[in-house]
Parts: sequence; structure tokens; C-alpha cells
Amino acid sequence: MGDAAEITAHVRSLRRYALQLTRSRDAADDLVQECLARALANASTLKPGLPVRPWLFRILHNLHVSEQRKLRLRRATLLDPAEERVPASQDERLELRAVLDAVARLPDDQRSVLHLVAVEGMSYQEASRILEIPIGTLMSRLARGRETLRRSLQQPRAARLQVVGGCDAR
Amino acid sequence: MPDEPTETDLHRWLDGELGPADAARVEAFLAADEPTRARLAEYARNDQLLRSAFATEDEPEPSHAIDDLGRRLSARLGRGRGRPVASLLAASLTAFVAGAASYPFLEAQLSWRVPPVVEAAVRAHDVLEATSRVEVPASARAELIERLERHLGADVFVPDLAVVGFRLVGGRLLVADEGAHAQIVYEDDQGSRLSVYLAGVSTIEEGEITLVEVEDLTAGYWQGGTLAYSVIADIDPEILRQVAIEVSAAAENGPEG
Repeated sequence: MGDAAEITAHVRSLRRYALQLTRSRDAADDLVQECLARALANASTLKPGLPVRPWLFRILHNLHVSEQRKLRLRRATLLDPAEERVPASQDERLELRAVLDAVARLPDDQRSVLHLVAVEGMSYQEASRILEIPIGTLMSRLARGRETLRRSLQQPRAARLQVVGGCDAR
Repeated sequence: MPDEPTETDLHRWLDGELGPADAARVEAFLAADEPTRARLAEYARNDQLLRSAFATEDEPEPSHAIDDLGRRLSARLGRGRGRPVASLLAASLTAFVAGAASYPFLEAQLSWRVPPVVEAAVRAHDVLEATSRVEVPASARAELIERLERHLGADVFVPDLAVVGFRLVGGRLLVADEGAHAQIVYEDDQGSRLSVYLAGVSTIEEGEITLVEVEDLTAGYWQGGTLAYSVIADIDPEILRQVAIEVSAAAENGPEG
């Protein structure tokens, strides 16, 4: 019983992460499905004493990376998770859209780190195990990702001011 | 002016990755540095927005295929997974064993997969309960030890567990993919069996004794040098804990007379 609830929770997390990686609901669910099939086939390789979540995330992440290599040029239809949340006010929706667009422009490696730490609330250790990178690398990607995100969310306002100023000068 | 923390420390602070002393140092710095404080607040706010964007209320139901795979996976993983006995028990165990490493109890509160060697030990105990057969009886103790040592390629001793109410019945060798395993069998006054299972593999974290419930049995396992030890019985975890301590202490002190 506990196990079933645990896996259900992991599946939800995996779907969020897959959506972050693929930006398409269909592609995300394909990825999760493939991940679970792999996990099932390799259940006996789960190392003793290790929790299930990082293992599942690592399978999903590696599948995504290898698919990216194959389909580098084919981009699925963009899907904004914010659009699925009806109750947000117009301002909130704009803000959520802005942050998602900004995150989408981050390099893949920074986006993955930011999602695992900020959205999934994982420890640095867990996230570094999933991504198979040293904690130092993870921390520098996280710092760069957050800073890039911060700057790009400030830019639109600055750009708008410039345009307005230009109009006025003419 | 407090020491300026590194950029990394600022993020670690934001993510709760710093210990209390380092966190206090960062907070003292932030209290005096408005621009950095504002920048961190922006990071935190953007993280929050990102979480909101992924809030799951309106997440579409997973497909039938995903549901089905998830169910099968949880059934598959559930079979080999043990449920931790109260963590306090484990805490007193690790405190007792010298050199006990930090262990996964706190992290994995639900359950985790027991090492394959422990699964093998549980199966061997089940078989023993069904057949009640040992190859070498307690009366041939020296022969038992010699035989197990020859096949396992390591020093083996057969601890005296009278102090915890168990007497030696005998032992047997089992064949596994990576070589021989040994099962030493004890019994208490009520005829309840207990197995001490030895395998020449290093699949368990060094220095740590873990207590779990596997199906109807209680198991304790740890790595001692080149051997992985499991103690299995259908008994109260507290008694099994004492047995595990007895066996591991005897193993550390070397063969007794």
C-alpha cells in the first residue's frame, strides 16, 4: 500500500520534470512511460539501500538526453503549463508565463538543476546523483541558472522603457 | 562587517543546505547587505513562481499505460523491499557498533529495497523452516567451521548465542552466483529458528547494522570485513537486535574458544 502511494507520488514528480524537459505534454508522458518501462525491466538493478526516487529520475533524465541527441532538430509544440491553471488572475498568468518562457531559454543543464532543486525541492546531493554530476558543478549551474533567469525577467521592463523613451524623443 | 559568503554559500543558504553555524554567518552578512538580500529575494520569488507554474491541481490524469506501469513497478519493487523497524532501535544499534556510518534510515522513511544478499538469506531461512535440514550438525562444530571457511575463503566463526537464548543446531553451504554462502542455524527453547547468513560479497555499506521487517520475518544485516552478515528470525525486533549485536561483536573480537 505504502509502495503504491510512493510510486504514484514519484510518477507525478516525473511527469512535472518530463514536462520541464520536453515542454510538451505528449512528449513528457511518452518519456515517463518509457522511463517506467525501463525501470520495470531493470528493477533488479536498483542498488541496495538506495531510495527509488533518484533512481527513477536518473532513468528519465538519461532517456531524455539520449532522445535529445537523436532528435536535436525536432521541437515538439510548445506547451505552457501555466495555461492549464485556470484560477490564476491575468497578472499572475502573465508572470507565470514570463518565468516559464525565461526558464525555457536556459541551457538544458541549468534548467534541469533548477527544476530538481526549486520545483521538486530535492537536496543538492539527490539532484547531483540523478544528473550524475559533482555537487560543485550542480551548484555553479544552479547559481548561473538563477542569475540568468533573474536578469531575463528584468529585461522586458527595461526594453519597454527604452522603446517608450525612443518614441518620446521623436 | 561579517565575512562575505561565497556565491555558492548564498544558494546553499537559500536551499537549506547550510548547517546552523554557516547559515547564521550568511544571515549576518545579509542583514548588512541590502543589494544581495534583494537579489536573493528575487531568486526565491522566481523559484516560487516556477513552483506555481507547475502546481499540480489541474494536471491531467496519467494515461492508462502510465498507471499500469506504475502499478506493476510498485508491485515489483515491493516484493524485495523491507520495512524499517522503529528508527530508535536502529539508532541504538548504530550507536553500539563502533565505526557505525551514517545510515539511510532518516532519508528513506518509507521503505527501501533490501540488498539481494539479504533476500537470499530470507529465502534460505524460509527453506530451512520448510525442510528443517542442516548438513553439518552442532556436534561437528569444528568440521562445520572448517568447511565454511574453505568455501567462503574467509575466517568464519560460529558464535555462542546462549546469552540471548539460542543454541546451535548446525549449518549448511549454499551455492550463489558469486560463490558459496553459509547458513548457520540456531534454535531457542520454543523451537523457533534463527539463521546467521554469511556471504563473501561487499554489497552492504560498511559498519552499519540495519534492522528491517521482510514479509513475516525480522532481519538485521551489515557488512563485516569481506563478509556480508544477515541475521533472520521470526522474533521480536528487540531480541533480533541483541542477536545482531552479539554476532557482530563476536566477529570483531575474533573467534572465541
